Amino acid sequence: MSSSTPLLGEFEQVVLLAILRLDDDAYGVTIRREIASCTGREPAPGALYTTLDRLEEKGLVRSRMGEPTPERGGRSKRYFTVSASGLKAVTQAQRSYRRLLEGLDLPGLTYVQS
Amino acid sequence: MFKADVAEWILSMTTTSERATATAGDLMQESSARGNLWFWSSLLRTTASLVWRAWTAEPFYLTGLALRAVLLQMMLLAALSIAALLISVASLLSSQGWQFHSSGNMVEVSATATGPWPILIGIFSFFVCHYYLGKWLARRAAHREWAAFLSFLILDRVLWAAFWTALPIPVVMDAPLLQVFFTGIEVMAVFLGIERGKRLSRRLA
Repeated sequence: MSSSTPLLGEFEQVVLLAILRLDDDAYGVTIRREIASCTGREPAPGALYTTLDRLEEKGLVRSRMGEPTPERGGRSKRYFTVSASGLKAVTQAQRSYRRLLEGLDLPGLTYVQS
Repeated sequence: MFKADVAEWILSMTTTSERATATAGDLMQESSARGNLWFWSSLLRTTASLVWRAWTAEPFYLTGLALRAVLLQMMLLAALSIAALLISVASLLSSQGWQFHSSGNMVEVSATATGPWPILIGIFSFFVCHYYLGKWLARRAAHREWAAFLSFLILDRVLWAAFWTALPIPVVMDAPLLQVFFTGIEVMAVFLGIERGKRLSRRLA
């Protein structure tokens, strides 16, 4: 792994992958829902927001404010996108997971080598 | 939209105003399906997480700030107490509460009816001191006022407890309602001061 790529924690990877899956519609509520539907575990709002702030400070995600909407009490959404370095970091992390999985026969998990 | 405003105000003391707005909006959006209990408990947990993160990001700065705030509080309380005492004495001397009796070469002074003024002046001084302290904290810990305030409150209580314990005479604090009353005034004054400090900073920016 290159020294310039920041190491990611497990939850940071989960959040980055959820943002990537949501594409242009990644904000607090949808990210939480995406994580819950994919992992079966709903993250605490505080954990999610502190992780998003941390990822933004590391330069791994970028955020922009959207338009205010009535169902949110006239408050704007904060949309997130994964930056180039964020994409690189999550790819590196997933590559490491793949290497760890190679040769393992986990019950109920079929690993197809690309 | 009262709860959204409260949430935004609370969150704005842990993060930037844009982030506070967006987070309050997220909580509002989800609370329409999950209810009020979820909203307030999520707000509490989110605030706690953000406060903890702010504190762990700058533990030395915030502890130093809390220590300076405690010292400032002591100096302000001492100055205001002296001023309050002088005002009270002046008010007493000008009232009919004081009676001077002279017999031979002795002068006897007694206060009969002092009125509520010394107590009210004391409470007002306590309030002013903590209001100023809130403004002082807001200027030095923008967007992490909660972390600064809680650091101050914990350090303040620890130092006072150490002070009471170290006294040679045992002091029994047997007025819990009075303590709750003064803590309430302290918290209210500090938050009003923080709000005022935030508004002044915004105007200057």
